[in-house]
This record gives sequence, structure tokens and C-alpha cells, in this order.
Amino acid sequence: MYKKHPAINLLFYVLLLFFTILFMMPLFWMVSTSLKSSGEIFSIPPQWIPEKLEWGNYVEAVKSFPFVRYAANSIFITATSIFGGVMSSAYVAYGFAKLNFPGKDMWFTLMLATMMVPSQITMIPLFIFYSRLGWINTYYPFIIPSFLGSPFFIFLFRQFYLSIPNELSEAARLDGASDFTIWRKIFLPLTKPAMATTAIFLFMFSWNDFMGPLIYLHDPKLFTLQLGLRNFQQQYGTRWHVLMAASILVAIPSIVLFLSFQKYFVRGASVSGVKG
Amino acid sequence: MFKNKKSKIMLGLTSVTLLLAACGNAEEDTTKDANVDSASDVEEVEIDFWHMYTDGVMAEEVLPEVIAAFEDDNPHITVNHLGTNFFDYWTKLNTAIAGQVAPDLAMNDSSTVPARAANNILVPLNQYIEADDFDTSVYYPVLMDAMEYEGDYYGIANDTDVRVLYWNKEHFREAGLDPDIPPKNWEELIEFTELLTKTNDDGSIQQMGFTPDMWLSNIQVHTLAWTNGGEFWDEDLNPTFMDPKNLEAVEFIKYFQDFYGVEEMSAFRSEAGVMDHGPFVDGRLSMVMDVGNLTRTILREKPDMDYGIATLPHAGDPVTYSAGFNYEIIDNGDDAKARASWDFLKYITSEEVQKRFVEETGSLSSNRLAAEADEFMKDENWAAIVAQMEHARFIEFIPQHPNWNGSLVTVQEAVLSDGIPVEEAMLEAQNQAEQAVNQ
Repeated sequence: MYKKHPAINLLFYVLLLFFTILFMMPLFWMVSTSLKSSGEIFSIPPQWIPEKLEWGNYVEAVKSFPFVRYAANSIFITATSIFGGVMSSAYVAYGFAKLNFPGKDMWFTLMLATMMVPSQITMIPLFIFYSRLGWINTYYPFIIPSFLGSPFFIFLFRQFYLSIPNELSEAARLDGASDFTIWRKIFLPLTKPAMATTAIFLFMFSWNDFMGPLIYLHDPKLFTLQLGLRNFQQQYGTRWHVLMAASILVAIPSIVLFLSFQKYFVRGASVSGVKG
Repeated sequence: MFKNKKSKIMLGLTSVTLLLAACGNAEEDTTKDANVDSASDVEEVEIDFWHMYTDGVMAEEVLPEVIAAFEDDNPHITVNHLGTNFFDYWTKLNTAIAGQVAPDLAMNDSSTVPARAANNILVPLNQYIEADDFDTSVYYPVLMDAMEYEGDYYGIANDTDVRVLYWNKEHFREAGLDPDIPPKNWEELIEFTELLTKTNDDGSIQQMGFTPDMWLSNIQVHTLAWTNGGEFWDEDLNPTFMDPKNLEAVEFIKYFQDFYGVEEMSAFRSEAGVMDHGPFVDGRLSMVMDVGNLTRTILREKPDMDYGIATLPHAGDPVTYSAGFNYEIIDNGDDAKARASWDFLKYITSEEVQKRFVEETGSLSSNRLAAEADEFMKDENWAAIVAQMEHARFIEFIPQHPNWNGSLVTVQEAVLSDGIPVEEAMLEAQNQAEQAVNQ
């Protein structure tokens, strides 16, 4: 078996270590800033370790806006969006991958083409549409569309389904299973990596969504964490230390989720050819 | 078995449906039905008011107290207020207007009131002004003029700002200059700058005398051109960007870049980016053109700083650029809400409330009685800023080219960054303006 020269291995690990530190630096700076006093933030030379750890910044961050309420709202929107997005995208993808119907390829291409339309273009027309439906100041604009599937994730699931032999579904059909049953009992369990990848992507999108809540929600009781974070930035100054403390609290679920599902995520990304 | 699972799925879907039902409009729970107060026969009205105060004492104390006081005096009116960050406010407001779910009363940019009035977004206020015999003369005339479109007022200004020259008296003393005499014109500004500027051994800037650089000051090409006697529009609102006085203003900006050196300026800008409170407050810049709010930063961060405030150095008549925010009633087709909004608008721009705003924000109130109150005018710096209102002016509102002053930023960047000759860069802006106007 071919073995790499120890020097090459060493170089490889040194490079890995270097890039790991490089990519961790912003996160470290964020944590460091969250524990500084306001006077230390822009000190020159930059101070990586605060002289005194200001844990009070975290208390101030939580007290600056209704943190728990906004967190509960964010969790509700995110959870329902993930459920809707994963299930609907997976089901539609099954149709594109395993069923035959007239114009299938054309519909699939058309669906993919909608991904090319920038969200800025559709923002106002969608707002007017939802407004006419009476959905402004509700969570409907975040939840209902997620139950209608997303082209990106439909594409991702379809790639997975194409790799599953048709014999499996044909055998189930002989046993009297409907397409819905075949999808739920056979295809869904086999595509856990795709589900995890989709769930993580949807989580990131929904949890970090700022523009949607900004324009659709008018009642502070319905606000999400991202709207709360933005309030720290003012025309004539920003409380960076408090903002960083609040940002870390908000980022914790994303980090935990990614680390928990990392195995699935990497597998999902490699099989589908989608970069994370 | 499949049947059993199906039931579970149906149960799950039902749960989702119920969840969706639960996430409906929270307002439905809290909205009071418009009804008639049996005691006073006054219709109860609930209005939505949007503004930009989201953090600090204004958002947490002053505004809620002002609204509570108003509601005490007007028990039939409920004001629901919502603050949105300055950087996102217009995205939220403009989409709400497009979707016809706008608030009844909104804070907005005073410079662009005619654009919204022309698009029938706003309720004209003359009907209320006349009915209530409301005295508009308590507001600065330049601000009331900005609210006017085709003979009607469409808003009342809340606050404004003016550009002034700040100078560090300690730096003046060190340079052998009289600390009480600021530069009065561009020639003196250049002369003083040369005396005040200090460089390190490696050529980097230790102390900068003055710069009109847009990253280090709060001054724009059009304001500098005005101070030089230039104009960008003639009386018939034809573009006159190629006015030699305007070209001199850009040359004036370029002079300072050449004086310090491109690399040195760039390095100083980078340094300024991480200074706690900007180069003037941090004692690295001797003179700066900025808005009145800088006094608040100085008071908070360097209360012992010895500085003065003067009119912008000028060649012709003194002039300064004014902008700010106003309150306007959005036409949602509900007369009762519009009337209630007007009542609140009168209150929030009243002397009593505006004095509180001045105390808290340090912004120059639109209400002269508040801005020129004895308790504020005792401060000579405040008095110097208030005095600028005498020669303050807004940018011209050109419906076909509302952001015309933005094209001057492009001119400035083309000249300073790309080395394009001033005339060539300004000609491009002139052509754009002509095209816009002739469309």
C-alpha cells in the first residue's frame, strides 16, 4: 500500500491547522468582542483577549429585546418551514424521479429555471400577492410556501432518488403499495442524508432570514431573533459588544445543529454534488 | 398497517393545519373594534405609527411616555408605534405602501416629500391646518417649504441637521493660530490646513488639518459647490452641473488628496475606520465639516474638548445643506384614522414634545420654539448650530432625477480614484441629468 512521506503528511497537517485557525478567527473575534467593554473593541493594537471578561454583555443582550419571545417565534417559523420544506420537496422530487407523466422534463426544467430569478425581483410582487391574501403580519408567508416545495431541494432529492433502483418500488407496488406509501416507506428512509442536508439548509435559511420578517411582520409580538439583532445597529452608532453577545446566542443553535448532523450533511453534499 | 400509519399522517397534517391557524394575525386579538364611546360620542380610533427609534432612551422611555401622555389627553385614540432600524426602515415602509398595508402615520425623509405627494401616497394637510387654525410659522420656513407640493403641505418636519465647521482650538494654539478665529473662506482653509497638518518621519499623517473627504467628514460636493456660489439647477430646473463654480468644488476636494498624497490619505482613512469616535473627536483631525449631532458625541466622549463651531467657509453668501426627517399621514382611505394621525402629528411636533426630543437626541428640532428655547440657547455651540438655519437649504427636488446629488459622488470617485479630469467626470453627470429631465 502506498504510504505518504512523513514530511508530506506533516506539511498537510500544518496547512490544515493554518486554515483551521484562519477560518476560526472571525468566530474567535466575535466571542472576544462579546466579552469586551465598549472602549476595548477598537483599541490599537487589537486586543484578542479582553483584559476583563464582561459577561454582563450577555445579560444586556438578552434584556435589550424580548429575547425569549423572539427565540420562540424563530423556533416556530423554522421548525414548520423545515417540516414543510423537507416533506414537500421530497415528495415532488419522487414524482420527477420515479413517475412518468407528459412533459416531465419540460416541467422539471421550468422549475429549475425559477431558481434563476433573483429574490429581489420577486420581493415586491410577492408582498403585494400576500397582502391581498391578508397574510401580512402573520407567519403564513414563511410557512405556506415551504409546503409547496423548493426547486433547489427538489433537485437535490431527485438526484438521490435516481440512484435508488426501480426494482424496490416495483416490488412494493406488486405488494399493493401506493406511490405515497412507496415514497414514505421506502424512499424517505433511504434518503436520510438528503433530508438532513435539506433540513440544515432550510434551518440556516429560515433561522437567519431577516428580510422576510422585516417586511411581513409589523407586530413586535411576532418578531424573530434576527429583527431583534438588527436593532443594535443605529444611524449614529452600534453597541458592538452587545450585538456580538446576542449574535453568539443566536448562532449557537446553528453550530449545534451542524455539528450534530455533520456526518449526514457531508454525505448529502457529496452525493448530490451540492456544496455546503 | 398502512391504514394505521395513514391515520397518523392525517393526524400530523391536521396538527400542522391547527398550527397554521394559530400563527395568524396577532393583531386580531388586540385590535379594538371601532365603536362609539357612549360617554363622549367620540369614535374610537386606533392608528399605526412607524418611526426609526429602536434602541436607547428614545425608544424605551421618551416615545412611549409621549404616546401615553397623548392617549391620556385623547382617550378615543390608541397609537400603536413600531420602530424599525434606520438602515431597513425604508425597505419596510416602501413595501408596506406597495402592498397597501402601510401605517397611518410614518416618519420619512424630508427631502423627498414631493415625490410621495405627487404619487398620491400622502394625505394633504391644508384641510386640517385650516380647520384647526394651526400655526405653521413655529416651524423653520425652509423645512415647511420642503413639505410643500403644488400649494399643499404633506408633512410636518420633526428634526433637521445642518453642516458646520468644527475646529479644535487646542490644535490652533499649537499651530500658532488664533483659537477664536476659524477660516472664513477656502483660501484660509487651505492656509490653516498647511499649518495644522503634522506628518511622521515615514511620511504618514500624524495630524490632519482638514479634509473634505467623504469618509472623514460629512460634506458633499453639492454643499461645497454652494459655498463657492455654484448651482446645479437654474430657475427653470435645467441642469447646470458644468457651472465653473461646481468644477472648482471638485478641484478643491482633489487639492486635499494631492496635498496629503493618495497612499497617505488611504492609510489615514483606514486608521480613522477603527478610531473610537472619528478622527476629529479623537484629536487626529483639526477641522471637520459635519452635522450638529457631532456635539453630542463630543459631549459624551470628550466633554473637556476645546472646540468651536462656525459657518462653512464660503466665497459668496453663507449657506449650508439641510436634511432631516418628517412625519406624514399615509392615505389609507380612512378619514377617521387620518384625522387621529393629524392630532398625534400636531402633538409630537409641539414645543413641549420637541423639547424632550432635543434633550434626548441633540437633534435640531423643526420647531423653532423648542430649538431656540432659552435652556438650549445658553450653550454657545447649540446657538451656533441654530444660527445656521438662517441660511440652510435643501437640495432641489427634481421629479425625474430625485437622486441627482448621488451622481456627484460618482464624479468625486471618478476624479479621486480613477484620475478622470474634473470636467470630463462632471460632463457625464450633466449628461445624465439632461437625459433624466428630457425623458
